[in-house]
Amino acid sequence: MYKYDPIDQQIVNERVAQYRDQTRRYLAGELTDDEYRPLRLQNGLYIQRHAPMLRIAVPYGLMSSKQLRKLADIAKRYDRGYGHFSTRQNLQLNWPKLEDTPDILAELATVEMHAIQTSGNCIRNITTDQFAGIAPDEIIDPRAIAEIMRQWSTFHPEFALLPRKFKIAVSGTEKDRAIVQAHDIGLEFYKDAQGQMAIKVWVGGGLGRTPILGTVIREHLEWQHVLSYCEAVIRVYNIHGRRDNIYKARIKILVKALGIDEFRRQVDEEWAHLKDGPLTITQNELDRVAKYFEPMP
Amino acid sequence: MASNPAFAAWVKRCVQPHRVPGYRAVTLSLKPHGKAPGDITSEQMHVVADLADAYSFGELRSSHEQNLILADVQLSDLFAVWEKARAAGLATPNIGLLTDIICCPGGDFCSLANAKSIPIAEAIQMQFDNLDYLYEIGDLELNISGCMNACGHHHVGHIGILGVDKDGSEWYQVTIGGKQGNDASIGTVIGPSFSAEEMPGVVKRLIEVYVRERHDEERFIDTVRRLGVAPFKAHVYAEKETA
Ligand code: SF4
Repeated sequence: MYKYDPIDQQIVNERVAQYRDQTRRYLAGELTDDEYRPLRLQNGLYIQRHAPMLRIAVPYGLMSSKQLRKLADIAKRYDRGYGHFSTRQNLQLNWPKLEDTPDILAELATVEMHAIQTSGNCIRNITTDQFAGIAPDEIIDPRAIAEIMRQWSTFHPEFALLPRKFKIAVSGTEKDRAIVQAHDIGLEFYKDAQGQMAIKVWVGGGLGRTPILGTVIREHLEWQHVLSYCEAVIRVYNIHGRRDNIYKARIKILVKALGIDEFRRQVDEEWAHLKDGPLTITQNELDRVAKYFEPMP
Repeated sequence: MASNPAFAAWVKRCVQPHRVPGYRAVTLSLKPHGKAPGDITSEQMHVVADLADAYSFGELRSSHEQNLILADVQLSDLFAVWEKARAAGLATPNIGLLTDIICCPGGDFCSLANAKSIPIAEAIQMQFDNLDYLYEIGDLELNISGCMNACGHHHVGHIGILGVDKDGSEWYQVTIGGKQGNDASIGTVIGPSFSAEEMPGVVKRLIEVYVRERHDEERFIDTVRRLGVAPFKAHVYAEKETA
């Protein structure tokens, strides 16, 4: 699995220090509820019915035994001795004390974990098939691209305040065990006629109040362009998605309102500026990240 | 294996194929009957971490179905994994069955909830707390959300249950025919919603129609797709009126 490099570790550590100070100021009465709310949400802390809830990110559902032991110890020490795995492959703690959360995040950082972007109107944890890399029916293992996308989406400055939350799922199998059609963007990996890894891109799926299955916006996307293409999709959504009505704010409503052809046209127009730019993934970069996902046996 | 039916049942439901010969994936069920789906204690997390170290290269995965997976287990280690998982309550042989319920935290925890979801899941699990009957029913995905935000993916459950608020009390709307996968579909509402107490009985009656109508080897979802909601609806609400 992916291992943090010094830069990854540094930004997670810095985030913990920043959040510790924000929480200290809130508890000292220097920040109001309204001022503190977005800060805690950016770090996965909700205030629920009875207690705070901390949602810890498990990128594409992959964990090491060391990380799980840390989660066990955190649940024991700071919560009621259990956790809850969510339908987005994350772990939720139901009873942490608000004043303990900076320490919890500091503990998580020691095992390359955090709760960043597990809530709020940003790109959330990318989900995938739990049998990625081992399933006999898998055509492409999507985890290396998922990791590259995780890095791209984490702290993405343009997409920190989207009209609404944004969920991406990736899958490289025929059956699809990641419900790619029920996501804001679903990426279905396959091998094209030339034997190259390619992506069928679904957009505008989602459950919730208005359940809609996604529509294919692009049948064949070369993997090198997955970041620039997703950036174009989300940029169009960020500009035109509705912010006046929370129930109509997801990308699925925009795609329905514009129609898939008009939406695609706008995305392509945006993409023309981004394609072949710095977001292009090189073979070297893919190989570098893919090394972390080599088959175990 | 033939001499140990409990192990055989677990292998059938909780062991999944692997592309490398001699290896299998193991799904550790976080759905023991009568407990909140997806919950795991600190002690169980330690057991899973130890299993991952001993038998699966120190890694594990979580699934959107809210179970944990040891992805790379050698065939010859399966029995040992089963014994240890079973001792920790992580080997309920129900993966992919009716009691492997996807369930959001709902009204017990979530501020947005219209209704509780965990007690509904638990009541259904207890209603169907008979492995032989569960195996006879076969593959079936039942998903529960406590409100229309749909964290429990109820729309794509073969049976979906949605908590709704009617005049301040908790009710449940039932859909059937939803499905995940490359032939995904959104379920159809069968009719007016039910009280919490009615829910296990409603699921029982949906299953009765399926068992009565199914062709050989036909899964619940395929029977629903073939027949539509009408016969299911008729049976569920007929019973309701005479009850
Ligand atoms: S579906 Fe509703 S009740 Fe359930 S976790 Fe999501 S928001 Fe909360």
